[in-house]
Amino acid sequence: MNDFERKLSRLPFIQPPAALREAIFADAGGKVITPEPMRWTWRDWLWPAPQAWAALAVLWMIFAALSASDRSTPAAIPFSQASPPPPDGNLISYRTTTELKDVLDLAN
Amino acid sequence: MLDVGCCGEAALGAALDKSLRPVRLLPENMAPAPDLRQLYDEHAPALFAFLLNFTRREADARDVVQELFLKLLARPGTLAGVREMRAFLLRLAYRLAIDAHRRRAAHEAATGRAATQPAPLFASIADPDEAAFRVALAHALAELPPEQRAVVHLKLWEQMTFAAIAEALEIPANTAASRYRYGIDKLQALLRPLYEELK
Repeated sequence: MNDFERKLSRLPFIQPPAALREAIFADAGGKVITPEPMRWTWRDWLWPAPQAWAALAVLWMIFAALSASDRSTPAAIPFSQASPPPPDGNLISYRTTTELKDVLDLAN
Repeated sequence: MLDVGCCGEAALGAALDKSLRPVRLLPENMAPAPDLRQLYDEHAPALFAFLLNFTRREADARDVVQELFLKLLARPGTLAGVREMRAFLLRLAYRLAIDAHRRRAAHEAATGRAATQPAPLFASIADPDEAAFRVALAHALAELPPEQRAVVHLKLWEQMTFAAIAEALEIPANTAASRYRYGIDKLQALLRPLYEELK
């Protein structure tokens, strides 16, 4: 702070009108107005970084939505059950061919 | 018209909505809430001076001080746990002043009434040279944009750090520092002849 700034900083401002104080506290009468101590709430803890908490909540909802959508799709099926059984026609034709080979005693 | 270009209207509205929330709470070590009359006696002159310098209208400064203390009376828990009472009150006063400015600007636009003459700022003094300097300083301050004036006031007359000013006005500390430098340079340029005479 230089001399100029120091000089300015020492200049006194005009005072608020005396009637202002009376106007503000007129309804309070003569009683002492001490605010009640505020009880601690969760909001006090969350308040310093509301955006961070909001972002966390949004992330949580996204993960919850993803999790719910995963549950709605079918669970993983074992490989043995994954492929459908061959149609009956194929089995019959396979068996018929084998039986015919046996009956006819055909080599290969 | 008062230019508050530092903040958007929407941001200001949001800031005003939360204007009475405590900014610093120590849940495990809460400071006891003070008597509001005592609080008024300690801080109202400084708040009035800041508001007078910022708004340049005595009626506005008076209205904002009154509105601020009436809000505190209505919501008694607001001040519990506040560590830096002066800074907290200045911050609330600043927000309310911007809100009052918005209301007044809308009213003036609707009624077409022009702004009135800026209010005197400094206490009167017998010495004519010193009195002239005070009048010149009041005019020079009126030349500054309101956002620079707010920073200059908090730095010079409240001796706040740039970090504290930044928190009170919700601007970056670098912005507060540059606004102060621009403001002081302009005041020095406007007042140099008178100041040199007085030295």
